[in-house]
Amino acid sequence: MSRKGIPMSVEDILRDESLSQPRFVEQVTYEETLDSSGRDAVYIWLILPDKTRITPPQFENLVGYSRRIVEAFNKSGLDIAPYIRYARRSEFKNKDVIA
Amino acid sequence: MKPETYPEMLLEHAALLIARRRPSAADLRRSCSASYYALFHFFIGEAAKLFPASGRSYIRRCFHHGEMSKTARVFSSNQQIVIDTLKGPGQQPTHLTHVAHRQNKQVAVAPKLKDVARSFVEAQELRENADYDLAHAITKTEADMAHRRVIQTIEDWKAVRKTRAAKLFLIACMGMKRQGS
Repeated sequence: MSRKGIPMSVEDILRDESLSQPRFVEQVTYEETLDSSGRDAVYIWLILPDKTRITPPQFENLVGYSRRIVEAFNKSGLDIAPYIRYARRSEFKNKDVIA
Repeated sequence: MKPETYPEMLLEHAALLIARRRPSAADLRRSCSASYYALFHFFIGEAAKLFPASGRSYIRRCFHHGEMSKTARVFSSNQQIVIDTLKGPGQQPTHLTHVAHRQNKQVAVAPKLKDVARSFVEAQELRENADYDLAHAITKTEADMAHRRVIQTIEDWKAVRKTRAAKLFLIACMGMKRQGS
C-alpha cells in the first residue's frame, strides 16, 4: 500500500529499488492474466541472458528476488495473485511458439 | 544415488526430462508436472506420519489439490493463522477445532514455512499451466527452476516440520470438503 493508502500499480511495485534486482536478471516484465482458480493474476517474467548458468548463488539470488517481489505484492493492497516465471532471452522471444 | 521414495523418483524423472539434449515442449510440461507431484506426494507422506500406521492408507486419500492450494495460499500470505479461517465455506472446521482446543487459536507461521507454502502454490500453478493450458508456454528455464525449487522446498520443510504451524499446515491440507460433508 502506498503512503496515502492507495493501492500501488504493478509497475510501481516492480520499479521499487528495495527489491534489489540481481544484476544477472536482464529484464523484468509482466503480463496480466487469470490464474487456474480464476483469480486475477500477474505473471512476472524474470528474463536472463542466454549464457546465464543457474549455479547455486544465482539460484539463491533468483529465489530471494522472487520472494521479495511476492512479498511486495502481498503488502501492496492490489488484489492480484503474483506468479514468478523464468526465461532466458531467446526462450522469452519465442515463448508464443513453444507451446 | 538411487531414489528410494516416490517423491525422489518423480524428481529424478523431472530432471531427466529437462536434461535431454533438445527437450520437447512435452518433456518440459511433464517435467513441471513431475516436480509438482513430487512435492504433493512429499507433503502427503509427511502428513501420514502424524497418524498411526494402520490409518495411513486412508489418510493418503484425503488430500486434494484444490484444498492443499487453498491452505497453502492462507499460510503463504499470513504471519499468524487464525484456525477458524481455515474452515471451508459454510462449514465447521471439525478436525481443526480439535487442534484449536489443544493449542492457541492463533498459530505463528515462520517465514520459512511461508516460503514453503508459497512454493507449493507456485509449483501447482505451473503444473496447471503445464498440463492443461497450451496457450501458456513453458520454458526450459522455468522447468529447471521448478525442479530446483521443489528440492529446496523439501529442504526448507525439514527445518520447520516440527513446528505447530507446520503440523497444522499438513492437517489443514487434508480434504476439508470430506470432513464437512
